[in-house]
Amino acid sequence: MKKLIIILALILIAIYAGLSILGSGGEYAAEKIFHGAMKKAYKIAANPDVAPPAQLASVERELKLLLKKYPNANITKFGHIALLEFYVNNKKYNEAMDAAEDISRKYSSDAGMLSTSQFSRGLIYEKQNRWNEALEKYKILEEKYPTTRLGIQMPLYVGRYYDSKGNDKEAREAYREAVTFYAKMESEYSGKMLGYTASVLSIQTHLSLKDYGAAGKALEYTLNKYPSFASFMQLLPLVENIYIENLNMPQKAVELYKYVQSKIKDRRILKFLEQKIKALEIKNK
Amino acid sequence: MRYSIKSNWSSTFESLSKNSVLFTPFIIIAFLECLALELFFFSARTPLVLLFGPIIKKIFGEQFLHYPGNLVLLPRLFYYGQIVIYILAGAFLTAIAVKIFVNIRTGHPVILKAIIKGAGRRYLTFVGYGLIYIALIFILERGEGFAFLKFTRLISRHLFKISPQIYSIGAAKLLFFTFVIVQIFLALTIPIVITEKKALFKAILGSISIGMRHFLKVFCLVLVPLLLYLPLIFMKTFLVAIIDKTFPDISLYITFLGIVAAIFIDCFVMMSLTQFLLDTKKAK
Repeated sequence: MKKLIIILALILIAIYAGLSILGSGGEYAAEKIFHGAMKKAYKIAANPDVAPPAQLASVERELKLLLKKYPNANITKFGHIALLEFYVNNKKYNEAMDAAEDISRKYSSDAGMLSTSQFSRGLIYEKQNRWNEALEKYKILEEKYPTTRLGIQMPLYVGRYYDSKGNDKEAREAYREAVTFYAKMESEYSGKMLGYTASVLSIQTHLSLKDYGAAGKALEYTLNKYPSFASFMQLLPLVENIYIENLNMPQKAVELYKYVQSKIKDRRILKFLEQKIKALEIKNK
Repeated sequence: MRYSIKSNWSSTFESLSKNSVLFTPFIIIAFLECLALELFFFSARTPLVLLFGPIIKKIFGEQFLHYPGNLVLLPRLFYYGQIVIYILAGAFLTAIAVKIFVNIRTGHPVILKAIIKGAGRRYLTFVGYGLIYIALIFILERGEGFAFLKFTRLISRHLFKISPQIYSIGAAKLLFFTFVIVQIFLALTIPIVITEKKALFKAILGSISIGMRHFLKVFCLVLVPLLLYLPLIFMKTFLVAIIDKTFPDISLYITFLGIVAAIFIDCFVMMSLTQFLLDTKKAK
């Protein structure tokens, strides 16, 4: 009995050891380091002012280890971004700038990473209240990488920055520029994902301008041009916001709800729309 | 019939402590389960990812091929592995353990080779039993899960809101009791096949009949030892939260703990049920 247990345990240990050796290094090990560092980083981010210096140092050390030990792992890309964000969040701006440079150098053919690096440079200046330098970086991002997730958002981002600072004149000007930019992007990438993103950002820009009429038109256009379940789910709340809450045009909202009803099959959403339409029709009577 | 559960447990315990050979089949089951656990644990790493990667990606999604997603999936993969092991080897090995126990209790010699050979001749019966047992648990789990979901939704809508944590605890308890109920009516099948040499369906009917006639006694014999599984069941229910509070590899340790616990708990339940069957036969 004891012999049997020992033999079986030894077989299991040998297999475990063998598979551990064969599976050591590579993607999995890199993911493990990244996960450990991120777990600590999230804890720090929840309350950065009271984070012990040792914990801060350990996140930095682990992320640097990841970049050094596994430079070609897929997760390392996110390790670079995490280290950059870590420096920005902890106000280590010089180190953050170096990390952004590193990203640009290492991923010189990856537009997504280059745009992240460019945005971070702008953000570093913005955090230091050096808006003009930040704006310069954001403009480069908008011009060089307009088709990236960050690049396409820049015009609206700039407008919102001015808005948050109470600079109404600059904000309106930035929003108008954004409207032109999104119209151009939408026509250039019409019918594609990027065209849809530009269209949604255009609605948001009109909403920021409080131009609800134009926002409504843009919304109707987007619903008609990009009819899919995902787009309806994203845009339906805007129907209420624009046509009911701001324009007081419940008939138009009912028309759009009925249009969406005719395009989808999901029973729960159909039921939800039916209730909405019923409520609006009763209210109208 | 008056029957002392206490004396059943004490004589079962005595048999187990004096005859460690009774644990052997359960140790082999545990070994096979550990092997499966190891393979699943390393399934996201080279070289096993070449084999498991496409399957896991297709069925569960890409995120479960990366750390720590693979460890969240581990208990589920292991559960599927356990099903296969039970059908192909678990029921058969349990039958061997039951035969050893019967021989010990009836004063017959324990000749392992002969016992294995005898059980081997009825291997397909045990595979068939394993299939029926798993299918029944699966159907009941699905049915009860659906009914429980409807019931809790009804309560949430009309009486009070049920939090996801309470729902999870309720669902876990319900699954546990499904398991206990199935055990009450089916667990005596293997001892009946072994002691009375009945065919599979007759043995199942016999087991159901005993389960119905002696419901409370069998219920006690099954439930009390199985209660030891409850902490493990709750740990598995809240695995994601536990991983979040501790470390992802804890998933491996919790599953391993379940395997080790099963050696003793499953063995004890099966032997006490066999003892009960022998006692009822003697009383007749």
